[in-house]
Amino acid sequence: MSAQTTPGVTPDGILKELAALWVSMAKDKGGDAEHGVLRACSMTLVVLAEESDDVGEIGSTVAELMQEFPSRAILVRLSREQTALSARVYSQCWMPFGQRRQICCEQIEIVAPEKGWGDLPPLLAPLTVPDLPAILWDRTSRLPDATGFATKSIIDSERFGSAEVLKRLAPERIYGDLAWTRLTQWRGLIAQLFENRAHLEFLPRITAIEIGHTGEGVPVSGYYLGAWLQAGIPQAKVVWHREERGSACVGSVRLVYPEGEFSVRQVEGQTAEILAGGVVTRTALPPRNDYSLMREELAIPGRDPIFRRTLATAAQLALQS
Amino acid sequence: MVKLMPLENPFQDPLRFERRVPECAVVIFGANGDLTKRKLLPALYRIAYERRLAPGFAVVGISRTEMSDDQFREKMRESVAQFLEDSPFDEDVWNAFAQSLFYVAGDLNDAALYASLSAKLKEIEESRHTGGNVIFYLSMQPSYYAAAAQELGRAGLHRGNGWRRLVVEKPFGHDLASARELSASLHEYFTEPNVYRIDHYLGKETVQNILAFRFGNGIFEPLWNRRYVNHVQITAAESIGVEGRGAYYQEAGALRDMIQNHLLQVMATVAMEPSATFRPDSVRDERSKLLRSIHIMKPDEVAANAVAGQYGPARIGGEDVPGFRQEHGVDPNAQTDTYAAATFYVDNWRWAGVPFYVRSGKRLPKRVSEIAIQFNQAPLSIFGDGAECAPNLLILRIQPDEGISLKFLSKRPGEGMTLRPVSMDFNYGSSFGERSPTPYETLLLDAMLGDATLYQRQDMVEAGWAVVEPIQQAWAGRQFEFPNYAAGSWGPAESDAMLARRGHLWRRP
Repeated sequence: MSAQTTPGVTPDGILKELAALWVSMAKDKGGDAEHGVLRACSMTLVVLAEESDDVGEIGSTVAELMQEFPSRAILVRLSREQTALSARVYSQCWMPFGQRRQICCEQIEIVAPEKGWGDLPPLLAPLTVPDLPAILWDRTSRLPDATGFATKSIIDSERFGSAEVLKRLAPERIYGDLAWTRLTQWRGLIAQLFENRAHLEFLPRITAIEIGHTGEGVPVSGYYLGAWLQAGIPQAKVVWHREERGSACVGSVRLVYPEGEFSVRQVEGQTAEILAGGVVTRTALPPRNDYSLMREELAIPGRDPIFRRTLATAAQLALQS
Repeated sequence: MVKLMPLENPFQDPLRFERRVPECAVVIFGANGDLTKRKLLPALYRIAYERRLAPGFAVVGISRTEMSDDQFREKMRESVAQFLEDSPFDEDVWNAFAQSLFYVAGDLNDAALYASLSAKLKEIEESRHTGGNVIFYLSMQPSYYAAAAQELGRAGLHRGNGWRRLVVEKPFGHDLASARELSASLHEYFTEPNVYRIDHYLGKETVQNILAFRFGNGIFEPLWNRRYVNHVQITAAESIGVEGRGAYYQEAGALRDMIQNHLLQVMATVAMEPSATFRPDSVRDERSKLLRSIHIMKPDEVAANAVAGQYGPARIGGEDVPGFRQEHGVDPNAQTDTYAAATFYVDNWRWAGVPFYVRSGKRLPKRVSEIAIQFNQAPLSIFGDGAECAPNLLILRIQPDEGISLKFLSKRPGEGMTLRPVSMDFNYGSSFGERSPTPYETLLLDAMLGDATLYQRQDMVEAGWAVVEPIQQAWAGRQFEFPNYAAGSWGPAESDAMLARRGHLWRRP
């Protein structure tokens, strides 16, 4: 990748450097229009990271995401030591298999003093690509006001250590939460159970939703799962209990009715065991990394009505428990 | 007391996961065959691994060989482990999946087989709660389809508590009359909505990409007609020969094997009218309408509008490659068309007068499938007599790398006004992060979900045969001067001449 460093950090300065970057890349290719460089952009992706975050790992995740979601990526790193802003621009390029032209996305890396991070939104707003979605991936626990520049903010509420954060999410804004995204495989398995009309008949008779979790308190994902299930089984009571084994935050789900239960639970390794109507099956339940989680969230740039509804209920469940 | 039961699954989340598959049993006729071992069972295992199969899902394998359920499971375990593509073989997942595999031995024409099958399905329905949903997959020679469908019907297996679907693979007949005859046999017991004809060439993603491009944007559809389009070229080229399947291919040929079904489907997708909805039957209605609008050649039009070719030996990449007639299992005097090209016209207001050139062949220079839409040139060049005046081209690439390119003229940077063609790509292909499903995974899932988008309807099959019938009749019994193109070339000279007569040239992809 090619890079340029800007002496003064203003939006105009950064945009000028980006333009110069494309010109220099075109010159490098000798003006070959047929197999030159192709600029691709479908959104602006702003990543807000703490100083302690592994920048290399974030960079790798972003690079992987670019291939399906080519973006202007802006990586903002907060620094305790730095007292002034600094920025550099570069491009991330790859050559799709079988093609002879590179596809390149713009990347801007900004290092901002931790104390002044609240000044970032006015800097970031002019840097977003017009007419395309702008997504903030907030890897911190700071919940910045992204109203001015992001159409959607993605957080990971598990980082906050408490479900209190759910109350702080403004209802009028669009959010994604990786704690919710991690549940997609579980939710898919449960949804699968009730594609069977015979199983659907049991829904009104389910009296309890039991969610097993690891760790001391109920994780946010546990509240999300309880809220989501209760929306489909309103008469059932949600209870959480701690399990000793298992590496996942959520380890098991039981939907109990008088004569039996439906259950999904994580067993050894990366496998889920499903029990329904006396039939036991197993399927893969591989762990999900940041790339996999973000890929799912970036595919939904607008509102997710099911998540929005679940968020509201989960916040209430957390308050009550 | 009125018992209230939810009518719909309240846990679906279409934004996050694909629709869950309902419980069903898949009965595979020909369970001991290659297709089952190499494609069907690995695909089903993979779907199970991906958490998309219902817990009560079951497979019933059928063939003449006597074996127990456990023996069948062991055989399938070996096959899946061997033929699984790009996926890990997980023992835990396999062991659970294997419990859903069952086997019934018997002869296709023996009523006793169907009685046993009926008993097995009843048992599975009760123990695994499949709701009586069954797919009958006829993985066998097409000549047995009618017999199998009728025996299923006589045994009452075409109906039950749930849905019953019949899945068959191409070819659907070898001409219009045989296609109609086959259809009549299938329809004796299975209604058309329950007959799924596999003829996948355009993957679902590709079909959807073309439809999204055409009907998701406001700027292209106004140009998509005879006023702006000069002609359309549809190419399906293979660089390989018959690869040991000479005996089969000898009976088929490029016209039957590729143009009658696959390329006419491509043409229908590109040329169809917008459908009212995106539901499978809406889309198929419009594709069928387009196929029925294709001008049926009169006998005296065939010679000028259809070309047959057969590859001869050549030296490619430093190696001698045999001609078709030298391939294993091929008659040295075979009249099979390994290359076919045709000019079609669509008799409707949108496309009247616009030639659709369609070609397919083996042993062409490269493997490529694409649709090239050439637009009319600008009416006047204001840039001088010597100015570049290449027409605009929109290329929809199907394989090897799926994408869309638009070629247009732009000014060369610098002094003067020199125009040069440039290409803008709109689509960058699929993500490298996630594994794409195999065609059989997609097709099996679609059959279970009842999504017929990729499956051919009978009216589409018949329309396809009707279009090529005049060509088949003209070519039948004719002694061609074969071979008429060298392996590794772009086909016979007559094919170039067919376009040249209209002032057109085949694109070199």
